[in-house]
Amino acid sequence: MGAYFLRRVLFFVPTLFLITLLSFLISQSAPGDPVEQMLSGRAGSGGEQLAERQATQQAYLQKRQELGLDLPIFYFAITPLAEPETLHHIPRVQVQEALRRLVYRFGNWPVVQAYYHALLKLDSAFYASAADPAWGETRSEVQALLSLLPQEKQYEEILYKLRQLRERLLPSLLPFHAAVQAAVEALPQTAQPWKVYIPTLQWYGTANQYHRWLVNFLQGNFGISYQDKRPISQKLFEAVRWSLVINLISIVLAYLIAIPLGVLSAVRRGSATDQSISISLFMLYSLPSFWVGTMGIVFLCGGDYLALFPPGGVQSTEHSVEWPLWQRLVDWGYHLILPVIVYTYGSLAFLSRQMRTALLETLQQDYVRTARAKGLPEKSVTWKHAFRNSLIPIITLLASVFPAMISGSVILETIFSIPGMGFLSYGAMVARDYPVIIAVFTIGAVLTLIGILVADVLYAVVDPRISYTRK
Amino acid sequence: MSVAISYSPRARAWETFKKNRIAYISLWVVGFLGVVALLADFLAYNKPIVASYQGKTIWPIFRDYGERWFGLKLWEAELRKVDWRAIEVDWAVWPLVRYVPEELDLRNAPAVGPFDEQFIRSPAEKHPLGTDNLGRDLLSGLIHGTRISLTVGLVSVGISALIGILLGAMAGYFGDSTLQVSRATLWLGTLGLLLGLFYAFYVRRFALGEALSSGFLPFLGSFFLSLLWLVGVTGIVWLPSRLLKKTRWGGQRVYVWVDLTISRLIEIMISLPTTLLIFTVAAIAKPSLFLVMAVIGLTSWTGIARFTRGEMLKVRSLDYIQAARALGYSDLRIMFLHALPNSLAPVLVSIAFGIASAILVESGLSFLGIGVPPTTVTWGSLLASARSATGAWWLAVFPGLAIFLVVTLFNVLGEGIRDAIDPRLQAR
Repeated sequence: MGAYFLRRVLFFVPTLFLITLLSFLISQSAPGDPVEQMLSGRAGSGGEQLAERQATQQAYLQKRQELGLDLPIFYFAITPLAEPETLHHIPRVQVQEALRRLVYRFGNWPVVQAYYHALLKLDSAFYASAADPAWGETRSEVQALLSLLPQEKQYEEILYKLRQLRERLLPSLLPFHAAVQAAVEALPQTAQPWKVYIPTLQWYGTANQYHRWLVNFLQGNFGISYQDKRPISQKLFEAVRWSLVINLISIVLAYLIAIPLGVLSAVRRGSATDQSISISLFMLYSLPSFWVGTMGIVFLCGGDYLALFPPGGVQSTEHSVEWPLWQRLVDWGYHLILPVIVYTYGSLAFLSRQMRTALLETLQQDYVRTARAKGLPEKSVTWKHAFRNSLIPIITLLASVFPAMISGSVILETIFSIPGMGFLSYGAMVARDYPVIIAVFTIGAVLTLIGILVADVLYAVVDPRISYTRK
Repeated sequence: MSVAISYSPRARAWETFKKNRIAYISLWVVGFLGVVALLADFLAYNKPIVASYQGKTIWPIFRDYGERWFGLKLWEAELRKVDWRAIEVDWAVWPLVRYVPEELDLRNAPAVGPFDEQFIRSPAEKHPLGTDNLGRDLLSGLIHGTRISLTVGLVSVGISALIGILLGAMAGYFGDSTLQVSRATLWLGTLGLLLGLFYAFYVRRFALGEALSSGFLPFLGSFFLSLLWLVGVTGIVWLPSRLLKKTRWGGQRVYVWVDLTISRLIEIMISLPTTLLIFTVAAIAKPSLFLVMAVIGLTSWTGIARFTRGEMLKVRSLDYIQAARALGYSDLRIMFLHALPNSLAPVLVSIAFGIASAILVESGLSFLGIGVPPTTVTWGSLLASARSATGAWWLAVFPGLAIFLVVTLFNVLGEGIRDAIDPRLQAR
């Protein structure tokens, strides 16, 4: 048993590692620049004056360092020889991405770098010469081109944009433009595409984004929400209460109803009772909960039809902390009836079917036949002998239900506007608040993992016949 | 009446399945829905199937097909943009519903019910099940939504069945102590595979991404090129092992832990919260139906893999497999031609349940408006429109009913197949 437990936990660690890696990878593929998101786009707009631009650039760099986004992504990297080690130092994700594409196409980093530096020089020369009235209308066009150019991934587009730029620049800036043009034209001439096909290994150690993210995550620091700049852990903590309350109630209810139902249909196997229970449970099982929820909202919660229940939310608008406790409880209870029903019926159907199968299997065991042969009354055989053993698989199901409970049901909480984890992550999905989405996913994944671990261990504890020492 | 009795297990399972009336009827209904999905354009479209216009016989739907699929120019300029319901024709054979799902009928917006008064030119133009908030026809949406739902179910389960059967069959057939290779092959092969993956999917990732965003066919082509890289590089790196095999170190035979590796992979996949993963990926990536199908398929193969593995374990110890070995057939041939066909029955159960749950997940996603492009009309998005149109009972009832029906059908099918192929149940 101890050995099994140890092995199980030992397997838990690498799986946990893989799962955190997966969610980190997903978070990496989220579009947009996280630093700009955190600064609410202030850094992106830049400014008119060179000094102003330098200040925003400074703010961007500072924020980026604060978030650790100037670090390499992972402990090590296997990259083509062409891709330089220093690429992640370049500010702005889009610029990094564009330069990376160029490197993958031409394989010659020094020339790509020369192009980038020439571009930077042109940019600062342009903003240093701001006061000239000779610009007229074209100034804003040049500005737009200058901000788009570093993000351009397609070589042909770069050439096109450079041509446009030359027609609009003042003569004093043309030498800077010529430098950029020369660097760009040098790209295909000095291309070394073979460098893309030679893999190299680079080692970065623990000073990397993933390590930082993982350590923060294990300390309960999930980052900052894009939407309201609050710590995600705080938002999650507020949300998780409602998911917990509703799910606890509905799970207890589901077990309370499902077990007797399952026993009834197993004991009367094949009878009309069994068949009608089985068929209705089967229908319930296939009934999409978001349909039932929507129907409930449309038909029972005000609108044009019955107004039996409030239209979503967990408390009425006049609800206040000054109310006596019973009144608050009644208010909450009134709001939660419909959601709890919808939450319950799905798991109810699933659990009763499991209960029925488990009891049917137990009733065919030899020891049950022995008990019957001894002349024990049927009731005692069912409840004292068979029932207890058939509970084992049902109880272990609880452990796998728990994680679903925490991550909440995204759809149901959205339908009933319950401010839980699911609703929180739906809001984040709509608002493209990636750190929140990733945090909810990672927590859900880790809890699923723990749930499965607990279920396996529970199973081994309650059923001594199961031996895990040898596969 | 004479009944041909056949005693092959497959025929017996089929007989048992047919006796299960509900399951058998479900099979027919699924077939019917398949026909509806295929012929959706002939059931609901804003042009006639065939019409006589100014003395000429025209087949408008087929002309649209020709333009859409084959890039032909079939429409005359004056007929291209014309609303066929409004023009004078000699005669016309119309589809059941005279609207396409995306069409906004502004005179019947917002949300006109089936029994409400509708602003239409003739009774034939009625919206039989009403419209949604934007005046889109509900029945037309449901008919075309059948196509999307069934496609999602079939494609995503197709992907997961492909992965699951392949991995499960390998794990079950080879186990940990059957597949023996020389050390040289093992090491060089692994190295080659890693390098192949590097070239195929890392170096080519930008090319793959661009192909994906330009469409399904370019992506398929680009993906195939990646596969070529993978096979080519792996092969080239592996080649020297033919020489190395002759050395003492390289020639030693070692077992490949096929089962252990695949079982660990399955365990890791199971411990992922699949639904949450699908939601997360769909929320972060650009909305696309193909992506939704791919993600569902890539995360739900574990059940099929476990079933196939279990069956393979049973089948591989049977005498006829031994006989095939004794005849000197290759492992691959025995696995795919002899063992696999006899292990597929339980997989059918998984496939039926898998289709049901894939359809459920997709409608949940489009209900929330995540992952599926906003202009695509699906059962889920139609049901979601009931939330913004208060009092529109038809929007709450019919799309949900469609989802419920299809999910139930596939669940009943799954149960029916399970009962039919499980000999333990037959004995009872």
